[in-house]
Amino acid sequence: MDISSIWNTIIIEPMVNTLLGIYSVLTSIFGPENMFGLAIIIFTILIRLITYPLTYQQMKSGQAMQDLQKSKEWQTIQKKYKDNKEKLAQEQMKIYKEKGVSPFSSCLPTIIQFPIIIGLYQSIIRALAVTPTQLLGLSFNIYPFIPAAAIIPLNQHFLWMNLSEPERLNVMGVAIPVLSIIVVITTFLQSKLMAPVTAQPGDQGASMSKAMNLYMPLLMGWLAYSFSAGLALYFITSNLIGILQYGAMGRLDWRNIIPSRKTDSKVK
Amino acid sequence: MKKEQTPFVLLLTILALLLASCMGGAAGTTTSWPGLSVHDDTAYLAYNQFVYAIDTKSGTELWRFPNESDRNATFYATPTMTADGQLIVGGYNKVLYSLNPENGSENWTFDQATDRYVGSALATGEGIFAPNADYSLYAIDTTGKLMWSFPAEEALWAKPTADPDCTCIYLPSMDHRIYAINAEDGNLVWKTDPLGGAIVGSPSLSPDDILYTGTFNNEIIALSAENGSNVWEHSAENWVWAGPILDEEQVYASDLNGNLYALEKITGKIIWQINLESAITEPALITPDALYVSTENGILNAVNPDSTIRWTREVSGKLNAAPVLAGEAILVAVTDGDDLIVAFDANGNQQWTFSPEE
Repeated sequence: MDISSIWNTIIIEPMVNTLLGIYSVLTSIFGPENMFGLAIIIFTILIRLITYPLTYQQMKSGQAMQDLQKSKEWQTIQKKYKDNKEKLAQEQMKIYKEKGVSPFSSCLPTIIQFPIIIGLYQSIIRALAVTPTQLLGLSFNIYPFIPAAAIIPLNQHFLWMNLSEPERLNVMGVAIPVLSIIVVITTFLQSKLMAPVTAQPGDQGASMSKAMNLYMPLLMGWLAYSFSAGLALYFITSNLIGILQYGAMGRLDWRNIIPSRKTDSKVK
Repeated sequence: MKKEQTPFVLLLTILALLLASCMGGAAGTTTSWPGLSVHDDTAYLAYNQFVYAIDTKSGTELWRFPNESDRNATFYATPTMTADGQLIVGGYNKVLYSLNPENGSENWTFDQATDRYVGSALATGEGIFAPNADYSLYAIDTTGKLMWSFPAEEALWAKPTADPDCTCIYLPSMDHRIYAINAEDGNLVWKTDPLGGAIVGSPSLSPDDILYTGTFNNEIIALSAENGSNVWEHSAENWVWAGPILDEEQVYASDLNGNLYALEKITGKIIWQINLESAITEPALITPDALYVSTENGILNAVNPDSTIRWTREVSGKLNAAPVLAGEAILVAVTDGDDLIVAFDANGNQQWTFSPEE
């Protein structure tokens, strides 16, 4: 079995069939119009629930990092090596290691999304099956309990979008990538609202978080702009649920998005 | 950008490129299989970025359209010859082309569709009828002008079937129905109730006005051509992708499990059933001596009328397209193989192959 077959069996087939299963239930209740878009939204909620332990772990790591940065030991090395950034970084890494804290832990849930993004994109394209090769391939990937004959072809329209194509809203002759813009905004908001306050100069973790807050929304926006609208729908839903999850855990810090007051902010 | 952010941005860039390549691959480079037809001594093949004209005696290329490849224009629908000698072929670029079959020059184009042409166009005395994935059937005259269009409720991937007795055409649709449409004005004559699954193969019409079709609901169905009512159904083991074909007594149908069925035309009773071990996506070719069936695993099967296998020949690649008769030769168009066309004689001896020069 090659990597492609393994990927197909453990990622794509379950994703495709979950999407088809959700779509099938929705269609039997509401009819096919708009239902694949709704199926993607429900699927995203499921993914967020499944990956909740990772989100929780990220929150815990963030808390541990903040506690560490408030510690006397940390403050001491900041003062001691304030003129030697290289030594400071070495000492910081040493403390991270001693305390079992990873400065990159806040990146993990985002990085872990990449295989999900690839899998979901492939699953959306496969499920929509807009060409004979894709439809033939889909026929061999459908689990027996899915009522395939009744639901295929899937209705690929959701609101103004064709979910199999990159989204553009035509306003007075101008094609505006509305979803891509919302993806950039919600990804930025999510990153900022969830970022722990790390104000020490030369802190590598803080620097990485800052870079991620800046570049990740642009990357996600570019993906949403370039690929199918179904993927953009996933990004937006995922971002909003992420913000809600953090809000429910009391972890959102709205002051992070107001630069002038940021220095006064205290982590809850 | 700060110095310490450089590795992160680099990592992100690599991830972005990785994502783009993984996702681009999934979008699909091969989107369908070749469409092959033969007229006189010339085979016309639509595959990927070109439509080729090939001499059926020697397998040499006569011309190709367009002269230079265009990334946005790909062709898979089987080319159709009109009575007045135009070669009609639809592209995935939403354009229907009329070509001069002598040299491949463009006569006219029709660009009012909003999606790809997957199914082949039907040409009759009334006009050219081109099904499109935008849910519409376009009726065009021989100068390329729209006469009328008919809206279905889902994509149209199959070539309609003509009925000269009533100047109507039968349009199979992925919305699970077949529509009978007046070829002159586009008015609906009748439509079936939903047949339980999408239809992507062309129906066959018998002289006694029975229409035979197959659906993704694993069924082969006979319908009255007068009103669309069911005459009989026969269960298959998987989706029936290819349209059934007829000889004087029997209906031959197939499914994606590789089953080939011979049924009585009148009753739908099974005469025989054999399994060819791989998906069958296009109709068999009927000759007086044998049935020729392409299967996805790259095998051309010659089947005797009593269902015994006469011979099999394997080609490099997949065989999704229907075999086509060219004089004495049987041509098969290959998907993702070493050659684009392989020609066999009735005994299974390879005659020639066609691989286009870059």
